[in-house]
Amino acid sequence: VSSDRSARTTAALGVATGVAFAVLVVLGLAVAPPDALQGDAQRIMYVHVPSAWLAYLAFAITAIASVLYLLPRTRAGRWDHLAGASAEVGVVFTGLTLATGSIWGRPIWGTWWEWDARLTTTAVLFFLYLGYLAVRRIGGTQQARGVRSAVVALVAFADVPIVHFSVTWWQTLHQEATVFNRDLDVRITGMMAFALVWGVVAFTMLYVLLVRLRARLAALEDGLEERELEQAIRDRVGAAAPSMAGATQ
Amino acid sequence: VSDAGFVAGAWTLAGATLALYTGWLVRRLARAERSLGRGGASGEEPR
Repeated sequence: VSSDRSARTTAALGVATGVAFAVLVVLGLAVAPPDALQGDAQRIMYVHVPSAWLAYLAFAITAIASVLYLLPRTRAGRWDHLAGASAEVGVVFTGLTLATGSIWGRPIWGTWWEWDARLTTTAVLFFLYLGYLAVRRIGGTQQARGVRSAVVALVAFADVPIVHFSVTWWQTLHQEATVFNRDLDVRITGMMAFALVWGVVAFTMLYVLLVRLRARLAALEDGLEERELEQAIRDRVGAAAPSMAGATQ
Repeated sequence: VSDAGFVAGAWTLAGATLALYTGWLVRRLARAERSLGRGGASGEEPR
C-alpha cells in the first residue's frame, strides 16, 4: 500500500514539475523583459542560476547524509543512498551550470571560457564530485562503500563555499552574486525576479523528483546485489553438500 | 549568432539534458523493479 502511495506521489510530483517547467519557459522567454545591458542573452540566467543553486543544495544534502551515515547511531543504508543520489543529481546540475554559463559568456564576455576564479572553482567542483561517483563504484561491502564515500563527500564539500565566495575573494571576471551578495542587497526586481524565483522552485521540484528516483534505484540495486550474493552462497552450499555426504559414507 | 540563438541553445541543452537524465533513471528503475519483483526484495526501503 505504502509503495503504491509512494509511486502515486512520485507521479504527481513528475506532473507538477512538468507544469512548473512549462510556466518557467513562458516566464523566462516571453514574459520577463530583456535586460537593459545584456538584452535577451540574460534569459539564460533563468536556467543557469537555478542550476547553480540546486547544485549547492544537492552537495549540501550529500554532506549531511554522509555525516548521518558516518555516525554509528544514525547509520542506515538510506543515508548512503540519499548521499549518492543527491551527488549524482548535483553533478548533472553543475554540468548544466558550466555549459549554460559558457553559452552566456560568449555574447556577454566575448569568450566561451576564462580561467576566472568562479569558473575554475566550479569546474573543480564538477570533477571532485565525478570522482566521488567513481569512488562509489569501487568494490567492497555496502558498509565499506558507504563509509569510504561519506569521507570523500565531506572532503569534496569544502569546495562549495570556495565556489560561492570566489567572486568576493578574487574579483576576477565573473560578477558578484545578484541575490546572496555581501550586503544581501538583492539587485533584481519585478518580473525578472519572479521568473528567477520560479526557476528555483521548478528546479527544486525536479531535484526532489530525481533524488527520489535515484535513491530508490540505489536501494533496489543493493537489494539485487544482496539477493545474488545469497543465491551464490546457496548454490555453493548445495554443490558442496553431495560431495560432503559422499565423503562421509 | 544572435542573442536569441544563444538563448535557444542554452535552454534546449538544459531541457534535453534534464529530460534524457530523467528518462534514463525511470527506465533503469523499471528494469530494477522487474528484476526484483515489486515489494519482495531485501534491502528495499519506502520511496
